[in-house]
Amino acid sequence: MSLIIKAGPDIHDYLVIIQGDLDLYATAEVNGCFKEILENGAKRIVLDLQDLVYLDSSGVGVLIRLLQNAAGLSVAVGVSGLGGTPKKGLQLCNVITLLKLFDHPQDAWDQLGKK
Amino acid sequence: MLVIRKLIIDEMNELFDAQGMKYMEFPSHYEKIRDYTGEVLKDCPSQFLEGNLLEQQLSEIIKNGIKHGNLCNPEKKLKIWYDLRKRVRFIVEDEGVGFQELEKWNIFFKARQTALHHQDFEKFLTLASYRGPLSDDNDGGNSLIAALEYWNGGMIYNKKRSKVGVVRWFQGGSE
Repeated sequence: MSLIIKAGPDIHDYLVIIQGDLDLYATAEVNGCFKEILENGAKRIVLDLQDLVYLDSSGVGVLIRLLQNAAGLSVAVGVSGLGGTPKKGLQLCNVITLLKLFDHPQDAWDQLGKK
Repeated sequence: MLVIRKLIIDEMNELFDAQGMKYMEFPSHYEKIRDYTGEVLKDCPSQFLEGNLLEQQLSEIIKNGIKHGNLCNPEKKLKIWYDLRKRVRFIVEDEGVGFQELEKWNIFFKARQTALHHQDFEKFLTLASYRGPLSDDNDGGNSLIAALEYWNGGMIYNKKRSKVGVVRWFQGGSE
């Protein structure tokens, strides 16, 4: 798995790019990343999953935990580029209904957090 | 009408008939779970793979057996029977005490799916993952939820709850 964190358009925006396999062996690193971003005062987080190849239940659990923690802090979370098997996996467990989905990160920045 | 599936115990279910199935067994090494999955599926017809969805779903069952069943004790074996003709069918058995929280999980799942049905997404978010007394940060808490959908021909536990039989059918079957 490859995890890349970039600044978003505003000071409290974070773009998190997850590539490869988000599986049972990668959850600790991604959990730690999300925890740090939230502690740093994030207001908007966009996950770019365009190149995510494999997502198992542990990976889904990481996304759920982010959504739960973000909701408690009123942080907006968007997901861009979701497709393939990871999307099917999120559909199987209905978690996809909790996600704000966008084609590209810029679409997410344009719309996320707006009433 | 809301129809909610549940995990079922049925010792005599035909899904536990291993006649004609291939067999492999593995020591319970957590770090090799995906390797074991790959080993079982190495000759699987490509039309059953659905990208890596089959690999992912089988890997979840193997993980449950190795981690929650055998507690990652390498001296304990995980036994896998498999049949990849016309449909994919597996029986996976561990040497643990069995899934003692099965009834509790069914109650959780009913509440979760009811919240989803009523589009109560705030409540659904709180119920998105199952957290049991043995859950840790690496447990997603949703593998059985997806499994009930994915294994469209059934997902059955034996009486001890240490063995699970699953099957997925495909339109058209194998070539």
